[in-house]
Amino acid sequence: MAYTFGTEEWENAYGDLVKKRLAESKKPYIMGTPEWVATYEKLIQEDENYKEVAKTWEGSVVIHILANPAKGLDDDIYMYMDLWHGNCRYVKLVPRATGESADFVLTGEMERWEAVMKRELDTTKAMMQGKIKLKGSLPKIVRYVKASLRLTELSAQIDTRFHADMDEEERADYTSWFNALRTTFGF
Amino acid sequence: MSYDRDLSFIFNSPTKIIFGENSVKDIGLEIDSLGCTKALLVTDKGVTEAGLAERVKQALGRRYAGTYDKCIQDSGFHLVNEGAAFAIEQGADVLVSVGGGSVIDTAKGMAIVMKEGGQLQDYSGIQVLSRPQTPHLVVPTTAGTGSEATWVAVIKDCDQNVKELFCDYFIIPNIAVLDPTMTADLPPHLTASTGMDALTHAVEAIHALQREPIADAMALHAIRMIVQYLPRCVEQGNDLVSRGQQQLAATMAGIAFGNAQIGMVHAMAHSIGALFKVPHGLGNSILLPYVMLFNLEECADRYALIAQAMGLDIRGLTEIEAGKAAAEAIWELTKNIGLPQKLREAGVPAEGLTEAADLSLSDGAILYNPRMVTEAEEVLQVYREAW
Repeated sequence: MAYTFGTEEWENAYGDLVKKRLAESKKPYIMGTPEWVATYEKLIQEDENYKEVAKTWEGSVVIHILANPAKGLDDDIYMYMDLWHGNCRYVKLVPRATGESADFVLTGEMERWEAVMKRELDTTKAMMQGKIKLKGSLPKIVRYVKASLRLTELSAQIDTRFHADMDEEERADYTSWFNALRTTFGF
Repeated sequence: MSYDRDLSFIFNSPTKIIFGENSVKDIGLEIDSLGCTKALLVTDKGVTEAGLAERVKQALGRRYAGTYDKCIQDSGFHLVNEGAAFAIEQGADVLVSVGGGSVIDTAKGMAIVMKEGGQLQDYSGIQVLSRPQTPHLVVPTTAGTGSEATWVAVIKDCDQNVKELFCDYFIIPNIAVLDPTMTADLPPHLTASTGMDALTHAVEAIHALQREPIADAMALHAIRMIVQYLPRCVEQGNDLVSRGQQQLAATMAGIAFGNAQIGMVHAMAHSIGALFKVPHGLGNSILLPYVMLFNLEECADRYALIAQAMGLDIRGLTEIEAGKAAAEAIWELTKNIGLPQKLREAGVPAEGLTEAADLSLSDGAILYNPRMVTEAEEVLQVYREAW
């Protein structure tokens, strides 16, 4: 059955999905999957360094990965981070409309995010060069450069399987089950 | 001078540059080359009163669609939105900005709103746009801003009393017409302060974290030209050779910092501009040597290059000593061209420094300063020294 985003049913079903995938999926997790997102959430929630540098931060941040059907990603992914005063309330996959409405939206091709998470690409430099786009108030986010850097560092700590590294069979399998999840959850 | 193996950068400089005395006469043909037919002139009252807007209007001929002349120093969101609405009403398909940095930046903001709709505030961020914006031809009437060739527009958020940066490759102007006759009547004090803006762009491009060799080349030669020609422009405004060289230096410095970025000098100058209306070039001019000394330990080798470009004999000096010599040479230069060296002489109240320091931490430019700055106290220390 399909769930409507924002309802209690959606939240419960998404929670169950995450638990199931964390229990059943093999590591490394594929970037942008529910189990990868949940791992990221946990890392942020448990990170004292992040809590300190983001203690006055208020607002939502979205990592927006652009679709790349050739690499198995048929539609965009929006990873929504609800961040408040050093706490990470949650990180989850959300529908496009919700993702676009976040206070800050960081948009980039899959390859760019892969480079960021491998620490091969500096996020600030990437934004200046147009490799990653930032939508949101610059004066606000500039004050939290340490928090932004920490979020990037934490993403790099996740043992990640990148789309570019998948062979055809693995990619086809991923596309199939991930698209099924999209249909069910609307993200 | 050397770079590490991890050097990587994008150099982007798409602006067509047209230089020469009376080159403004060719504007009509340049509009045609853009495939446009109705040009809205964007300017301010001062430029209009000086007769410079009329020269451009004449050159536009049948392509002239109207004039928006409400730009002011540090234009705000409301003026950009109002100007864009006026341009749409006039059926304009190209903007021709005639003026200094505020006028050019206002037109950059208008170009976005005309193409994308809504309000300028909807496009806050970095590289938010995904397609070319309304074509834009620039005729600078000062020689300092460099905005005719950059990807940045600085627009004031009057509600928050903060200058906001809009950074996007798609707002780099299509054409810059550098006509020395358009700057010939600029008064000495404005010539001096806007000229120092150009020097600050060049110096900051050299010390910024995103520095790279192509921008270095532009910036270092801009410094050589500014040191030679800016005093002449101040002393004898009708020296069109010097005016032209200073214009070129300002554009080259603009191209340099548009690629290598800027740093703490600009962050601090934006803040005192927003809070106390200190003209941007003047704020930069006062703060530049103080910030260089603040950064010295981090990038003395870069400042030694600047010292050389300024014509100083640095043989036998350490890089630190050469960097200090460069800062002192900048003080000497500003004295010679009649600019103040202290913020108190520019109308900044001592009790306002704390607020300015805090505000500077919100400025995107500070991200690229060679010495990482995350605490307001560090900025305040520099403000106090410059006060």
